[in-house]
Parts: sequence; structure tokens; C-alpha cells
Amino acid sequence: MSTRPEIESLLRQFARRHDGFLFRRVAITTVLAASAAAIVLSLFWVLRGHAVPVSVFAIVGAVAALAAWIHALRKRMTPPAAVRGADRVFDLKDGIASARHLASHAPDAAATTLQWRWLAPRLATCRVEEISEPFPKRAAIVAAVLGAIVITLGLLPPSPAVRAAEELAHETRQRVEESKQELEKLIEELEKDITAPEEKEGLKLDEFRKLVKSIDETGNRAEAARQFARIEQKIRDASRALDQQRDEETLKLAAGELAKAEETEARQLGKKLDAKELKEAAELLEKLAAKKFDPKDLKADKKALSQSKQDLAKMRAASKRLAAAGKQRQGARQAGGGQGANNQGGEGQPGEGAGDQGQPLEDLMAELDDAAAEAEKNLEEIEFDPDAEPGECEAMGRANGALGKLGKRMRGMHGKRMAQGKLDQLRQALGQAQAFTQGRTQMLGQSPGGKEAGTGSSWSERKERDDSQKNGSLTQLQGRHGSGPSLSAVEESESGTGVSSRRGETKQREFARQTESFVQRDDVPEALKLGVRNYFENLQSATRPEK
Amino acid sequence: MPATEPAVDHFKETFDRIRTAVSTFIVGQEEIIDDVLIAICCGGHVLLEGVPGLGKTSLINTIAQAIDVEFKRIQFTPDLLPSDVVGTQILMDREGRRELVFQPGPVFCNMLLADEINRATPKTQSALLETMQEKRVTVANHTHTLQLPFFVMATQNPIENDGTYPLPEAQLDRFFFKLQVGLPSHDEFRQILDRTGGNSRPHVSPVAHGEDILRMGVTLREVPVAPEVQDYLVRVVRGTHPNENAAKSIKQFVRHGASPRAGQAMLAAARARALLDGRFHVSREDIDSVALPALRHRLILSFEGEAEGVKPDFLVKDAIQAAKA
Repeated sequence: MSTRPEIESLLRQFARRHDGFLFRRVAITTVLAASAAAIVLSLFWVLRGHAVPVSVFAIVGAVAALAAWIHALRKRMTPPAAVRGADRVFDLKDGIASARHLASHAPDAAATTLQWRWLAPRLATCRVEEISEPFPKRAAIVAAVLGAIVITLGLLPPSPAVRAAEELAHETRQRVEESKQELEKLIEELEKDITAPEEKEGLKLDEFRKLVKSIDETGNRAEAARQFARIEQKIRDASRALDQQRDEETLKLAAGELAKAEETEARQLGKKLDAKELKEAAELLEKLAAKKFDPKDLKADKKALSQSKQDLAKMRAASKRLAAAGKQRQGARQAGGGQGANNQGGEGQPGEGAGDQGQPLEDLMAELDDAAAEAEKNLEEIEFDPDAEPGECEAMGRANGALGKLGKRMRGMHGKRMAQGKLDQLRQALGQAQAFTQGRTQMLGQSPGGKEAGTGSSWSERKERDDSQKNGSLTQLQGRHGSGPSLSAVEESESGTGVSSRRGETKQREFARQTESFVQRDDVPEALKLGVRNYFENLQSATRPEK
Repeated sequence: MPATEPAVDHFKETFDRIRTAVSTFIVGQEEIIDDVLIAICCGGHVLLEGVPGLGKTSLINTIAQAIDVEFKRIQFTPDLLPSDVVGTQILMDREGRRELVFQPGPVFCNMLLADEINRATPKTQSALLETMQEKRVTVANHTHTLQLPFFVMATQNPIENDGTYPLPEAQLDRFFFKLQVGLPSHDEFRQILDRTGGNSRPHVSPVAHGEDILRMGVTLREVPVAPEVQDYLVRVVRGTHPNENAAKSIKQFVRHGASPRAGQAMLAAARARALLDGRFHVSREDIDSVALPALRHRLILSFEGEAEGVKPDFLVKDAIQAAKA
């Protein structure tokens, strides 16, 4: 606008000087305001015993700096303001404004010359450096004091209680995270161990994996416990859905009956059932299936007839025992049904007693026995009645079919049992995780404590805890009602022997307790545990017939 | 005529000469003298207000003596007629024929002292309207132009209100300045007594002519005004109106603010101030210094303002402050 370099130079210097003062003022004011705001905000934490988060200061500082920057930009001296300010400060009586106006509108006019003649000597005496602004001491002191207070507040440590709570929350978070990882690892391992489709179906590991993944790594112990408890509840529900206690009781009765059988196969089957090795039992059962025969061939071939009779006799021996057990179970069921709600074992088991085909186990046993009896009758007819009509060998087929169904059912039970075991394992792991997150235990999982040789630790070095699912004492550890050894016994008054069996039973229970306690010890090698268990089992099986 | 250094020097020298000459008789009242002379340079009329005996009439008389111009005086009374002011046609016998001849009134001069103007009737007061604004007189369908320069110096007494006729707003607006003559200080009082108590009276010789006054008017109109300063002037004048942006007191006590004519007067007076200060540009300080005499008689107070007895000077100062903000 102006062609007078002296004026423009003076205005630039004046604006710079002003801006310098402005920035100084703004800086002090910003520090003051930011410190005041930071103190107010800090008190929010300090009064509750917390340390003030650094982010609070960062945010306040950033906001204050931004506001100061915007304010300084808005208040920076503009050229018109510089003109007015210079005129005012140097008492030029709007000389600069007039000179700029004249220089732009009438640079060659006489008026311009006259005006410049007045202004030029005065302009020469203007010293921008001499412009001074009193340093805002009071504001600076207040800002410094407030800043010191902010620093002090920022350095204040949290109160012991808050620190403990924070450490606890941190530890809980870490433990939840660790537990989560362990659970995910366990689920992976369990998934790898799945052998039977029934097992996979019952486990629903994908669902549990999702649930585990959805665990929030919270620092709140109660919330962490609630999360684990929710999953545990679901696992318990799933485990309960797999419950087949009544079928197992039926099989136990069957094992008892089969043990009385004269045939080796039946007794072996009984042993397997007694040991709850259902898969092997199913295989043994299926081996009992007799070859399908043609009556005409049997009539012709006495040897084949004899072989069929032998096979059928084996089957019949087993089926009779199984049917007897089934009848006992049916009787117990009817009695239990009469007792109503007292039979707690018969309740709360959805689908129990109903197999894949919805048929109770005892019915399958009865069906097998009926079919076997009929097949036996058919063979007798073939043997003694040469005129018997062919085609009556369907009973043998039905018997084999019933055997197959029973075997399949046992395999299913085996699968469910394994799944249940895995669920229980998962539940146990959840319980451990829960205890770990709650700080009740210092270690998670079943890895042994201690460290490598040469590295010191105050932890007690213990061997890896043996999982209950691996030492054969499932029932005892599950704590299922009515399944474990009772501490009380009733004298067998109906035995008629006149000899009390109490001492023997007490001894037996003592042996059992010793075995259980021994096999659960962490410091006993697995091989030794197995040997002891076999020893006691043999001992008990040896003493059983005497009883 | 372009502004030149000699013209500026002439302005200042002439002004100083008149001021010095007047000061030989008038004690103190420097500001009043300056304002009257500024108004004369700008071709404006002045209304002097003050209690009797403060030397209002003497001031005008002395200025008239210092400036070699035709001076006339009218003592305004309630029975004064307009024809007594502007003149009338009279029947004259001329060479045996009788004819109406215009007899000029006292306004036909260069400097007219309208003493105690508020004692005349509004009709007579309004006779001055055309004279002051148009600098001409129309009588019997004949317009008679006045000789330039022409100034009306009116005086009025603010305390003796019985039998007076307050000047209408239209007529007030035609006064360039309204000056309030105050009491002299103790020393000034003594000087007045010294100067006027003896037999000899100081004689004031003419130091300027009408032509000088006209030339001074031309020179001052060449003084440039920066747009910022002009904006400031406009803000001050507009600030006297009770609008939204006006000061609180203005909104409360003013019914009508100053007219653009006030702005013109202020600008001209500010230019004169600038020249007197040795500058050839107008500053905000010049505007401020002439705002009071130029605006105080142009504010029409509201009923509340009248009832509260608010002084227009305070309102003008508020308007200035508002314009600076």
C-alpha cells in the first residue's frame, strides 16, 4: 500500500515487537490457566488416593497449547492494527495512516509532500526497541507456583491402598490373561484327544472356545470370577446333559451278573464292564455274535450246527446275565418310581435310559436275551426236528442285531464318558483358573513348580500333579453323590452266615483309601502307582469270592 | 488552489495574528478564542452561551476589530421583527416618484453579532435561517446575496429563561460550534480588572482581512483525511444516535443524535486543528478536540435525559469512548 520503506520497516518492527510481547503474555497466561486446570483435574485423582495419570497433564497441556496458539494467531498484530498502534505509541497523530493513504492515492500531490515533511523527522526518531511492556510479574509468579503445584501433584504416589488395588488389578489382569491362554491351550489339547464322534458331539468345544475367547481381561476379581463361573456353569450343564448314571448303574449290575457266569467270555465282558472299559466291552460283546446260519446247511452239517450251538451258548450265557441285570434294574426303577422324588439319581438326566434309538438299556438287554433264546430254540428245533421250516434263522439275525445295538450303545456311552471326562477336566481347569485369578493359588495349570537346576526359588518343588482322570479314580474325585465309598456300612443280616463282614469291609475300604491316597500323591512315579493299583485290585478281586 | 507550504504558513500566521490581537483585550478564554476563530475560518457560525458579564460580546467585538470586516450587532428582544434583522422595503421619494426601495438589515455585513438571540421570537429567529445557511436574504421576492465572509456570532444566556424562546433544533444545527463561556480564573479575573478598570483601553488593530479568512478556508479544506480517521469520525457522529451499537447512556438519554452536518463541521474544524498543530493531516485527536463544541448542541435529549438534567457533553464523551472501543 505504501511506497515509503521507512514506514513499512517501522510497521514490521512494531508488529514483531508487539507479537513478542503478545507471545510472552499468552505463554504466561497459558501456563497459568493450564496449571490451574491441571490442579483441578489432578485433585479429582489425588483426593481419591490415585496417582494422576500422565495423560491428564498431556491432554491439558495439549489443549492449552492449542488454545494459546489459536489465541496468539487471532491476536497477532495485523497491518492496520500496526499502523494504529505505531501512531498511538509514537504519538504520530495518525501520521502513518495518513501517509500510507496519501502515498497510495496521491503520491505526487503537494499535500503528500507536506504531510511527509511533517512525518519524516518524527519517523526517524521512532525506536521500536524502546517500546517496553512491563513483565507480568504477578501472573508469572502465580503461574510458576501453580506449575510447581502441578508437578508436585503429578509426582504424588498413589496411596498404599490404591497402589495395592492397582497391583491387584494388574495381577488379576495378568492372571486372567494367563488363565485364558491356558484354557485355550487345554481346549486345543482336548480337541486333539477326541477319538469318537459321540465324544465330539457331546463336548461342543467350539462353543467353549468362543466363550473362553470372549473372556474380558479385567482387573476386577469379582468380574473375572463371574466370567469363569458363567463358563463353568455352561460346562456343568453340558456335562450334566452327558450324564448317564443310570445306564452305568445298569452296566454295573450287568458286570456283577456277568462275573457269576461260567463262560470265560461272559466273565471277561463282566470285568470290562466293571472296569468301565466300555469300548473294549462293546468289542467283546460284538465278538459274541454268532455266525448267521442257513438251517438247511445246519441240517446237513452237524459240525456247523455244533459250532453254532457253541457260539449261541456263549451269547446266551452273556445275554442271560445281561437280561437278569436288566430285570434287576427294571425292578429298581419301578421301586424308585414308587419312591418318587427320593430317587435323585433318576432325575435331572435328560435322555438317560434312552439310547440312540430311545430304548432303555435294560430293554436292549432283554431284547438280546429274547432273540438269543429264540435263536437257541431254533437251533434245537433244527437239531431235533428235521422237518422244521427253513427261514426261522431270523432270530439269530435279531440276536446279532441286538448285540450290535448294545455294543453301539456301549460305544456311545464310552464316548459320552470320555467327553464328560474332558468336560470335567475343562471344568477343573476353569476352577483352577478361577482360583488363580482370585489369588488363591500361585500357579496355574499342572506344570511342575520350581525352576531349572541352579536357579533359586522360594517355591516348593513338587512334582506335577497327577490328573485324576488319568489315575482311574474318576468316580471318587468327581464326588458324585452315592458313587464314592461310604464311610458307614450296614451289617448283612440276611447273609445267614452268622459271621459279620464288617471287619473285612472296613479293611477293604482302608485298602481302597490307601490306594487312592497313594495314587494321588504327586511324588510317586506313575509306574509305581500303576503297580500299586494293580496290586490292590488283584488283592480285592482275590478276596471278593471269599466274601 | 493546491495546498502549498506558503498557504499553510499563511493560515497559521494569520490565525496566530488574530489570536494575538484578540488576546490583547480578552483575558484567558484561549480555547474559546481558538474555537471561534476556527469556526470563522471554516465559514461557520458560533453560538456562545454563558452567564452575563463573561465577555461574550466583547470577544466578538474584539475579533471584529482584529479582522478588518464589516461588523454589525443586533440586540435581540422579544419585540424584534424579522424585518429588523434582514431588512425591509421602504417607500422612498425619488425625483418626485415614490418607489419601494429595499433597505438592508443588519445582516448585510461580514460579521453579525446576534446578542441574546434567544430573547427574540421564533419568527425573528427563523429570519436568520436562510441568512446563516444560504448566506442570502429574500425580501419581497428579491434575493439579496450577502458579502463573504459572513459569520453570525450569537450569544445566549442560559439562566434567565423567563421571556426567552429556546432556539429550534433546525436553527441550532446551523451553528458550527456551540461554545460555553466559563468563569475566568483568579489571575484572569485580576487581569480583566487591570485592563478594563483604567481610563485607557487596549486598542485592537485589524490584523487580517476578509480575503485572508476566505483563503484560510480554502487551505484547510485541502488537508487530507485518512480513511481510518474518517471512519472514526463517522463512528463518533453515528455513536450519538441511540441505535444498537451506541453507548448505554446514549441509548438512555438521547432521542436524536447529530446530523451529517455535524460531521461536516467536525471534519472542517479538525482540519483547522491539524493545521494549527503544524500538521497537514487530520488525526483522531483533532476529531476528539472538536467533538464537544460541534456536537453538544446537536443532541436532542429524550424526556428521561431532560428530566435527569443530563449534560450533552457527557453524552458526547461517551460516544467518543464508544467509537474508540
